[in-house]
Amino acid sequence: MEKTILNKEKRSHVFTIDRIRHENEMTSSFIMKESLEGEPGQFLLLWLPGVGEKPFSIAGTHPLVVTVADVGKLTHEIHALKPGDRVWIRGPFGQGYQAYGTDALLVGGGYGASPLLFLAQALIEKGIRVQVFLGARTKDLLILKDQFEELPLKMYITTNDGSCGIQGFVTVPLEESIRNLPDPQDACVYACGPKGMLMGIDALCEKYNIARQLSWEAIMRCGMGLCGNCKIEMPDTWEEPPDKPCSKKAWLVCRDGPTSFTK
Amino acid sequence: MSNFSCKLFDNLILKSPLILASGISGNSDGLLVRAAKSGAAAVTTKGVTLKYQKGAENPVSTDWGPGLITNLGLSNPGIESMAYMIKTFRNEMGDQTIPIFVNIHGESAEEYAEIARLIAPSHPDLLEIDLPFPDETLAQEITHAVIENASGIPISVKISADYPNIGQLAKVIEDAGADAISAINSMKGLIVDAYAAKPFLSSGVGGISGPAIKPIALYCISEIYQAVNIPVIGTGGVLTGLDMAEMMMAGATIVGIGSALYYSGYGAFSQIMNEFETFMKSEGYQSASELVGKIWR
Repeated sequence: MEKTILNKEKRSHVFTIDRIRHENEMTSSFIMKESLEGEPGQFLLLWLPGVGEKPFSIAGTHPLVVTVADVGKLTHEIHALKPGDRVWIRGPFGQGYQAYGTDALLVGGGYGASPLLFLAQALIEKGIRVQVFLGARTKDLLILKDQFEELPLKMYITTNDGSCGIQGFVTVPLEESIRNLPDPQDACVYACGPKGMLMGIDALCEKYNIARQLSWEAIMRCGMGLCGNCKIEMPDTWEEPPDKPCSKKAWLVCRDGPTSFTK
Repeated sequence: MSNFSCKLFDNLILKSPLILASGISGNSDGLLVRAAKSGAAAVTTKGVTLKYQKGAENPVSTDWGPGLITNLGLSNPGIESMAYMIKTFRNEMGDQTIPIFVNIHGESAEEYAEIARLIAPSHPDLLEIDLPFPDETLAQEITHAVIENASGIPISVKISADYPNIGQLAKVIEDAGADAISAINSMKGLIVDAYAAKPFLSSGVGGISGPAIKPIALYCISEIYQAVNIPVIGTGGVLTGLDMAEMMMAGATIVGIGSALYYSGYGAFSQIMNEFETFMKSEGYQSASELVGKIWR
């Protein structure tokens, strides 16, 4: 079932930056004074008046945390903000991650890790065993490593150039951990990152017949399921729900997603 | 489900009176297929211009409470890509023949003529003219220009509620040879964020749609219904089966939905048709045509 859009989610609300945590050279987490009700895997739209508006993962709710990589005009302006400055936020939107099984394997590619710390905290609170796999091209692009280290979980790091952790793709330690699971049927892989990584993880999960929740990226315009800009084609392994005919070839990241669930 | 098929023209019969209006998902054949398979009796493309248009910067839309405001800045792939989209849509639909209407937008009669000439070989089931602004002389010129170049494809002209005598405008369009009138378009509006002291949309002005404009749509449709003898394609704030029945009673032969897909997702089509069927049964109506213009009969 799609989540009903609540009254309070409709319009932008003013949030004030309380503090800023630098995650790496290009990424910072903006911790607000205010809270926002939302689930890991959902997204919000952040507006800077006169500059623009873009979707971001919810990286924490009490208080609200938004992790932003400095990659474009709007994100560059966000990075210039200081504690006490204001931003405009509406949301949460979309379908988030759901707690499933007793073992959770969280996989983040680059700044795709941004919703996973919040997810890890939520899963640990529910008594689920968590392992985290962070992958990036190089050490400087890893985020949230120190924050994950503070949580009771097992963490694996991979970098393409071997500058931190294991050299190679994140799927290598992930596959090994899937093999060592006490009961793969009672576990779930949660991933967020670029499309290529998600497709690789999907194929791996299919091989081991393990449930996965993948959070997809797309260039979003309206964020309301109307313009169709964020439409993507889902992988073959994804089963189209009977109440959403022809959604497999025209899946709206903003509305059907951003998180897909394959059991 | 009961048979609510309805005749828009002698050679165009729809399986029900509920269609996808222009503006929603209409830049993607995949999403048009999704709308059709979700229950739309016909689909309308987003307004297409002669050339590709990138569109406006975000924010392009928001829910301001009683309705939506949107200004995508006419983002569309251009008329030649639209011709390809029509073909793909029909291929994907296979045996299930769901008509595809193409909404076209230009700035002058000459531009409309060119757009019509380029899209005519794809044989869309209807060309819906999106008037750049409501004006009787312009509407007449554009209607003529499109008819001359559309190789017999039926024409509807979409008009907005901004015109003071909408019945008169519709009559002029009928006299110019149009086969139907679509009404109403979204209405111009502005949303201001008090804390930002700025308009919320990047373009400032936007089109107001959704429940906020439904009574205005009903009024305009009833005025047009009384002024012309050609069918009215009703649009404006329909979210439920009852909304749809009310719009038909005001004079619409068929009803398009757009904002409903924001409120209810693609399930809006089956939800509205289920509610419509329940209403029709409880009130003892046998066919959709019985409702059309009922408040005036």
